[in-house]
Amino acid sequence: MSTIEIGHDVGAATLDKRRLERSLQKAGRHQRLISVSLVAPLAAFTFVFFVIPIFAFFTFSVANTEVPRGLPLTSEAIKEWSGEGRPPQPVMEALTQDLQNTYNRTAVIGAARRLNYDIAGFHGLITKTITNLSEPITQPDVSSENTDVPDGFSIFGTSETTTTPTQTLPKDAGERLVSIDSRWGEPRYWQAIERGTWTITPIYLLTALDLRIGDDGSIESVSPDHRIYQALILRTFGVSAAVTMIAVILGFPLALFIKRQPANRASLIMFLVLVPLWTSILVRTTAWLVLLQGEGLLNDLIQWLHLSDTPIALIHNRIGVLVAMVHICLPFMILPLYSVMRSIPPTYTRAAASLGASPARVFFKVYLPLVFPGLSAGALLVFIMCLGFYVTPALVGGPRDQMLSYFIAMAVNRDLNWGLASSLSIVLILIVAIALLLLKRFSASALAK
Amino acid sequence: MSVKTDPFVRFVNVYKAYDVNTMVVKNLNLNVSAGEFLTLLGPSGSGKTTTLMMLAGFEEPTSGEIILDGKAINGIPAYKRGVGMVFQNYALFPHMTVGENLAFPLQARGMPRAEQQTRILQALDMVKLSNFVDRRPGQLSGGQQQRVALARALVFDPSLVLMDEPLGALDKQLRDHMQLEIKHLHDRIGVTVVYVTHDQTEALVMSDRVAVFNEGKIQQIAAPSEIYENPTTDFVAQFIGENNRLEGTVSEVRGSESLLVLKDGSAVRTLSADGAIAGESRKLSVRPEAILVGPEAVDLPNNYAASVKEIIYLGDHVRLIVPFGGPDELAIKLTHRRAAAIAVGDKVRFGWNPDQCRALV
Amino acid sequence: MTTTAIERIASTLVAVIAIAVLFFLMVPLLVAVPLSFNAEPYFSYPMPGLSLRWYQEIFGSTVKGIEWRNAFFNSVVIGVSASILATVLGTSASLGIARGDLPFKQSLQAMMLSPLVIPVVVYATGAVYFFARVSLIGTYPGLIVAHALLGTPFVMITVTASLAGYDRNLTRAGLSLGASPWRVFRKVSLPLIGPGVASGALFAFVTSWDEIIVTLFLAYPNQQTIPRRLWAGVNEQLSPVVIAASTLLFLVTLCLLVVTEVLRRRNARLAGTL
Repeated sequence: MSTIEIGHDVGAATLDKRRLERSLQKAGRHQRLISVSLVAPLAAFTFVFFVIPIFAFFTFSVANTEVPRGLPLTSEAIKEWSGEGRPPQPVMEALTQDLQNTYNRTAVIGAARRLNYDIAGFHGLITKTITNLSEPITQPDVSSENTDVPDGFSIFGTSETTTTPTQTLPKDAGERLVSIDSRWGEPRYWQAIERGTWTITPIYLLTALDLRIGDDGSIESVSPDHRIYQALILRTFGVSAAVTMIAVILGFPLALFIKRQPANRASLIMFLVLVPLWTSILVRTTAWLVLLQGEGLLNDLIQWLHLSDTPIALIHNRIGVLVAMVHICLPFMILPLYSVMRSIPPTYTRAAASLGASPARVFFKVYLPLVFPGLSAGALLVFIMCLGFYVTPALVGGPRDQMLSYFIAMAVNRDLNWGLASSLSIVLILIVAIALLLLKRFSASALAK
Repeated sequence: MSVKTDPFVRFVNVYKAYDVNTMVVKNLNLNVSAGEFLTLLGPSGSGKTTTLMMLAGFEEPTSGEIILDGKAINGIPAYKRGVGMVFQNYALFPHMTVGENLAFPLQARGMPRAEQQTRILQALDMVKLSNFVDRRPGQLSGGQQQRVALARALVFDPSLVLMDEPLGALDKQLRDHMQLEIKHLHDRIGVTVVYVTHDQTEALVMSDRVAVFNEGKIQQIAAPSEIYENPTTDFVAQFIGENNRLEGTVSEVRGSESLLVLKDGSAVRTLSADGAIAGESRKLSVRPEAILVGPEAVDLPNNYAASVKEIIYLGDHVRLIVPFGGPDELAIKLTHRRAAAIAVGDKVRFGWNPDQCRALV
Repeated sequence: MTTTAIERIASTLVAVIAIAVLFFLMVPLLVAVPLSFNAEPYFSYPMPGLSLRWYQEIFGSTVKGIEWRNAFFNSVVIGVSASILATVLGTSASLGIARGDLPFKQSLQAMMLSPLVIPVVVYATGAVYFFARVSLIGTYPGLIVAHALLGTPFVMITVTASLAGYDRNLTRAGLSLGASPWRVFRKVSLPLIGPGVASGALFAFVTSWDEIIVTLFLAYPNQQTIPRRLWAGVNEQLSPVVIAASTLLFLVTLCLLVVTEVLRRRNARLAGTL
């Protein structure tokens, strides 16, 4: 009736490994092709319009093209220089020619701005030198003021040069430059030009960490009164941590409360929690402005209650930022917390209670460890969100409450300093990445449960 | 029931592997006759479900050929095979009513509406659910959903129906009932059924033939009684029903019988499956109900004596445990009446006929 | 017993804090929304009188009204287009991922979800440079593409979640009953994951509808959206018109939230019957 052979017919149809591999590959290929073609459109879309723009933007953090573009002859000539003492004559002549090249003026100004990031005042030095070189029979007053462009991101400080047409310039290019401004005699300015010819530059990344290349070529901290970014990074971190902590403290009781309600009421409360989540951040921030401002409602209430006679500053300071940010982040804390709480069967706590543990002990030793995955996931989610906040601090914060995102936007929009914007973005992304790694670990352990 | 001799489904040298190192189905050769109810029985991972999936068209054989009604069906997608299938968790479409579920295969075939309606009512009538056309699957009990799934797999008159552990999700009582119902349905309409289960009772109750799978190979394929009474391998013996298995060495072969010496020196006359050789190690397989106790045992060719170690009460019968065959123990099934006089520690005589036991590989 | 007393105090405390937090969540909206009906341009209670003058300013035929309506129109066009784009791409990708045999699945998934965690300012800044290079800056397609990108992770999350509750045997059952793969997708899979797709689409729409940062960076001054007008209003001078517009914006999102909640319940009901 039926034939059954149990693997004895070696000749007929045993499969050697290579044939098997080939046929397995063939079998999988068709199915995989379908999966790949379903995913490909979004993958390509994300790659082209998201990944590429961000990585292209990141390259600005080390891009160093301004000096070779603005000062091409100098960049070529300075390769011969040892870096010690004054550069040789050809370098000086090359710079003179580069600065006199009126067809390349925009690029020269670009190079000047770039060099100003390295040594404050370089922009002024170059504009002054250009002005003087264009009038060959004049020489500047020796005491002409050096209006340094301030350090940092503001590069629009203009330098005015007062010139007095008294003496003719020396023929020698080096002498001529030094006579226009004695700073051309200092090696560090030439060193800065030399650094400007490197393929990539570390100065933006260093600036983002309040570091600079010192005169001896080593990395050093900038002077204390010019330090901005370390404090900014700490502030971003600190505000995010504070918001996260407050969100945990406020979110935990609410999640616990919702979980203890009967199903219908619980879903109504969840709906109320979701309404703010779905409301535009702008709308909510506007509402806080109305509530917190000097002649706002909360101050009216405070004065009506005679708690204070003068309006309390609640907006455009840290209080306003924290209140508005906590308000925005709270739902993101409550959602994961509530879903974890709901998944914990009451048998655990009942078991602990039946074993004689006090309610406090049950809570801290049994319930809290069980809830921890949701708590940590929510907290890290909130923390990551906070790190990137821009709108809320910009609208309800004061100048001292702005976070990294604000400075990134400002570096690009106001200062056109793409290198610094890119470096600050990298710092921000790194912090986010670390938080994400933590989140992944915690959520993995939460899933393992 | 008539079983045609020409095989309706044939597996020819079929192999299936998911990766290079694990062969899920190894050189499968299997014929199913038209109208037959064949059960693929085996533990999980034995290759039975993969075999069914290859027949349904959800998996492709890595090598070999599957022939359905004379045509090779390798590479033909599932939806063109016209094979009905019933799934373990029924797989009823939850967003459609019972009627819409049944209409689904008919609409896919472009059947006129009026004809659809008659077919649907006929099919529902067959599973005694005519009043449930407008219900949603979520409003039905497990047994009712199971019947709808059955009706849906049959409504388009497939010549072959596959069932993948269809009763797995039901409770025991309902399962027993549905076993018979499916069997009767099969007898009535004569469709060919390939049925996958890991439940041996289900296999024995419903099937014309049972194929026992283990590690990707068919261990034995035969009628239920044959499988139960004459297992050809140790695996089948232990998988189907209950069996005492005692290790021993073949000392002598005489025709179809051989003499097996157990670890404690007891000699047992036994049938030997596929040609035992003297000196070979084999496993003695004897069913608890084949062992007789007391005066009836005395005259048997195989009879021994030992003290009762334990008596286990099992409701409809009692089980005696006696030490036997060295490190092993022997379970003996007894009626209450026979066990009444026996107590733990009593010395009893027990034995069985040589044709009631087997020396298996 | 003392323990029960402590328990009672603890749970009362939890309830009090919880209600206070709930109040905190609701209060800005409860307090600000009525001010849009204030007859005078002040933000204080009690209001001297009620009026619809701020809404009239938005809906009126003045230049300002036309500007508001243009912004509204822009927001809707950009939001709907971005939502459609995000939904199609995100749903297709989720289906591909759910099949389970995708090479480099982890990395691809991480990449496609990355818009969720990358700070928007970083993306917006990068986009300014790149979109300028490919002539998309200041164009509607550019804004739609950028908004769609921010919305796709939400589509992927909701669709993947609904696929997780989807029994793959249903697809197999459909095929075994003789329906082609496309027919099975249309008649069986899509209706069942439909609520997930729809709430993903709504998420994507709301993401675009509320988006301000990318818009500020990529849009030309003539491309006004509602959030952009609000931004300008808040930055320049807070006027009740801004509150009125916020209220309208809030009402739109509230309606959408109700829709998703209904969809979610429907989804849960269907899943419960599986």
